[in-house]
Amino acid sequence: MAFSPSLFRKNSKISALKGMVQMNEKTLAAKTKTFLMFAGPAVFVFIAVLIVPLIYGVYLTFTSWDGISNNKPFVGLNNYIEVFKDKEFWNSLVLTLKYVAVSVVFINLIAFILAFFVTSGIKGQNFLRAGFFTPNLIGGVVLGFIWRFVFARALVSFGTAFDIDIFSTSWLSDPQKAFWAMIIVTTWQYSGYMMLIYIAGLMGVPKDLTEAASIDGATGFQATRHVVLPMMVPSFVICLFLSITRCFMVYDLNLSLTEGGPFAATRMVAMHVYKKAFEAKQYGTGQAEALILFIIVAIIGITQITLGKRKEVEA
Amino acid sequence: MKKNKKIAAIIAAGTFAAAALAGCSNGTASSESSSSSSSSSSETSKASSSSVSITMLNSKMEIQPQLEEMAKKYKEQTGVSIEVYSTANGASPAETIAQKYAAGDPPTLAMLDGTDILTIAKEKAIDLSSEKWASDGGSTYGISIDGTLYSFPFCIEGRGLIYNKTIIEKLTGKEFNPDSIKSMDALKKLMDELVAAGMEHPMVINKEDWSLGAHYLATVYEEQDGTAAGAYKFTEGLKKGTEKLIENKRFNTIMDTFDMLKEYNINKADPMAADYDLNASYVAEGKSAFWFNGNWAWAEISEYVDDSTEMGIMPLVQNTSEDDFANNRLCASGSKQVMIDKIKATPEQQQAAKDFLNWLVYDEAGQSVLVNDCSLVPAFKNITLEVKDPLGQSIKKYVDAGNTVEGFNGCPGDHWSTLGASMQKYLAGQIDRAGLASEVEAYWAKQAK
Amino acid sequence: MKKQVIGGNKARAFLIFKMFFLIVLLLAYMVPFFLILINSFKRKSTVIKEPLVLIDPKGITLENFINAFKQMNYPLAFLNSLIISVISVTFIIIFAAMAAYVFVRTKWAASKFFFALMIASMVVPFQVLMIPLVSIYGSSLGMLNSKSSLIFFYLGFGMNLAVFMYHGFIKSSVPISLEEAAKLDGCTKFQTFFLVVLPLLKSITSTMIVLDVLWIWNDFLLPSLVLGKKELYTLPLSTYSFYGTYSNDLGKIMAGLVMTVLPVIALYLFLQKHIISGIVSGAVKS
Repeated sequence: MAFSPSLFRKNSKISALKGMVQMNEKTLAAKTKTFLMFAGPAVFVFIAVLIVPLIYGVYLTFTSWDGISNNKPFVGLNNYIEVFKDKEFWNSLVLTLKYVAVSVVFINLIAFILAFFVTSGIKGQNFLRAGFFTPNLIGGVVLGFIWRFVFARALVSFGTAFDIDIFSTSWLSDPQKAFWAMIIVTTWQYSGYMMLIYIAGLMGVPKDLTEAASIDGATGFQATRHVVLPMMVPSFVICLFLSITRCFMVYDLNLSLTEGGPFAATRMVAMHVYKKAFEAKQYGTGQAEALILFIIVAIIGITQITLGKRKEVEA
Repeated sequence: MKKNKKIAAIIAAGTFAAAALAGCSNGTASSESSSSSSSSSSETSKASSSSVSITMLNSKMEIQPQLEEMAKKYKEQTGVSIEVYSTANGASPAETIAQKYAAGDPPTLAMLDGTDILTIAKEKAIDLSSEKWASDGGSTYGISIDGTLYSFPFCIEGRGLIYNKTIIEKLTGKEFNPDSIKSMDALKKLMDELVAAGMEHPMVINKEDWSLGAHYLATVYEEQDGTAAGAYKFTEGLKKGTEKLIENKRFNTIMDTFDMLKEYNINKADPMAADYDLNASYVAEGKSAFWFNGNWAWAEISEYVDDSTEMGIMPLVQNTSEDDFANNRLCASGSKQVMIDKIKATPEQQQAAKDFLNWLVYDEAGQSVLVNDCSLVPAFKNITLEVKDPLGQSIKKYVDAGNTVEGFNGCPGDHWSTLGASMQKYLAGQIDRAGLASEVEAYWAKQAK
Repeated sequence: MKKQVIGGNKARAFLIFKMFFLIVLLLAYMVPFFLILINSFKRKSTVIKEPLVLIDPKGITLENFINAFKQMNYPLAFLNSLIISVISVTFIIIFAAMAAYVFVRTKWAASKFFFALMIASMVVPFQVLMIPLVSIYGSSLGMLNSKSSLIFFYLGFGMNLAVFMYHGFIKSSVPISLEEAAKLDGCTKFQTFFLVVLPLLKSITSTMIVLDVLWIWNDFLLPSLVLGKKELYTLPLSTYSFYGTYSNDLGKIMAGLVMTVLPVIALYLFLQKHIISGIVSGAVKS
């Protein structure tokens, strides 16, 4: 079946006039059938694997389970009361908020600029894209070792050799600097990931729209501002959401880079929750904290998405 | 054309998926059948049944290859198959065993830390009090709750000041006998001699929170009177607030030594930037002479040391008196404990597990695994094999003479990381001793619920 | 490629700036990876003492790679990783795209509810689900220790992000006029979806493939909970014997990392071409 452009235009005008929506099932039976046909498998696995354990997990927050015993005594809202009393939880939450705010800005700024440059048709852009993406492939202990080496040894030798004070001691030994070390490594790790999404977004902007704009006399900058950016809103929504939520939940990086140190000064909230549940064996309280964290981040995330979706331009 | 290609692709994908899934389920089926029945062997003298297979959780990841070798030999010898798997990187034994019980798939034998045994043994472990090895050292170093022995001490680990005898003698020009150092002042004098002879920093201190919190600070509790019961009484006092740490004599003598050692710390310029492996190389290669750590560190030290270097561990000396037990005894305890599951393990499996533990203690091949292959210090009097590494030999010397300070397993799970952070602050000079004392007291006060 | 630079000298200067910025940033970004590569050829003691040195003074050694290869049982682990990743990603993409399609095109309560639920679920910390997941599927249903169960779990966990991505891109890149035209031409709903809509989503599909393969291939935690038997281990799991209680065998770990990550890079480079060339201009022009 070949599609002909002129036929499209004619038909779209007709259908636009008729005000038809593609899926216009009228009866409940028909709606259910379509819904199950398309969304059935996805919804099923999602509920089975994510929602059901979540419900059980929520139930466990109402118990004083220690994580291993056969006894799971029901204690009602006790754990939640504990959460409000846990000063370190709230402190680590504030610290995490600061970290998220700064990281998200850096990540998305760099990712967008990179994506923009790397889709502008310059030489070697495939190679550049692969290069910027590789940081995302490294995680865990290796990531920690490499960056710890960079901050504690490489930069220190560099700093002492050239007498630069700020690099003469390891950044990881000082609470403030360790905080910034985390931001640097987070940006390094995630900007490639977000760049990929921005690239997909930029590539999805139809070339003829930008060409039409330039034929109409717009400069490169104006074309970007008025044509490309509005079409990029879905990418922004996605990337902002992902970077906010991932940074809020940071754990692996926290563990391997600073281990929460020095002196637990960079202990972000996920690490605090984890230690509460598994080290202090207050599994119920730890879970309750995890849930409260989830609610906070969900509110932020959903707000951001709702605002963003309103601005999405339909094709 | 496009339509056909799409359909072909979907069919291909479907076929591939179906084939792979079939492959998966075959894989599962065959692995299940291989684990539920071991191959028959005519030599089943030790095992009570010819087709028993058991599992073992190993939390000492560095000996995993050795244990796997051992399992093969054990199978040949007895026909019982043991599947040994280790904890995942970053996961504590506590967490791993919790997951395993949650999944309904606990190992028959679980090698855990002492604190873990205290938490779960009553509910999940079988009684081992009547085993033969209990009287050969098992009950001394194993964990008992209310008089019942629940665990098998897999190895003894001790800590104190690791010293490099060769470099000390080289620099001071005279023989070094650690027994001659029985006070902080004597140690300081030696350090000054070393500095004068050209060793800029004779001491190595770790930055890790487990080293400072679980080891250095814990010594304060353990050396109250040298027994675990004494340590327990003391920490209960801290919980209630009846003990004032800053007035406690032991706390102060131990911290005095700490202050002294800080002065000679090779990482003094930036103590929080210390690197564990580099620390090992310093003392192994003679750049430094002393390291506060334990005999487990031999794994790292052996990477750098050459065969002619003599090393050992000595107690953490303090300015108390020459015959203060703390200056004469080493902190050593059964660090890894093995329990046998009673929830899911069948009676045959439990018996096979017990037989295996007996094999480790009484069979030559088993003893060789512990001492020669895994380089451990065994907890049992009857094992006379020579411990392989110099640090382990040091420990064994103190153990055999009965000169050990009992280990205390009663610290809560987050003790090392919370108070380790406090100790780090003290190491880096961020708080003073009064500040440290109040943080420790605040922590214990919170534990009293 | 001969570049016709519109705008003359100003644009040329901008181009030079772009290249400079990109190259400097790229070098900075690649330094850690470069460090890993050189260190995988060194002995452990050299890695600790001289991580910066290019070549081990005692000579380049392949022992890390050889030992890692053996200890990881690389071919089997690779096969496990491959099967799990390919099957999981294939079904995640298909199911998620279909679900996103119906969520975008309809205003039904069910669509809105499940979409919102999926978005919210992206924030759930895995730790909350870990033990319950293992209790339900392990203790109660005995489904653990199987690759199929792991794939099932990846499908469940991968739905929310994939649906979220497809939702945004279907809305902005697939003109409803095309679907209507297809319907008028007699296509069923499925045909419309697979023949009209899906081809337009090539760039986000390729992106999702890369992101999901990356996630699943490198994932450690979920397989460690589900796959207890050594013959089922994926690549990341097979490296965990390199980690000691107090210290790690860094040379082997890095060699293991290089061997684990190389296939994903290869996949990425291969798909890059599709991400670029698979573009269909969304609007209609001959």
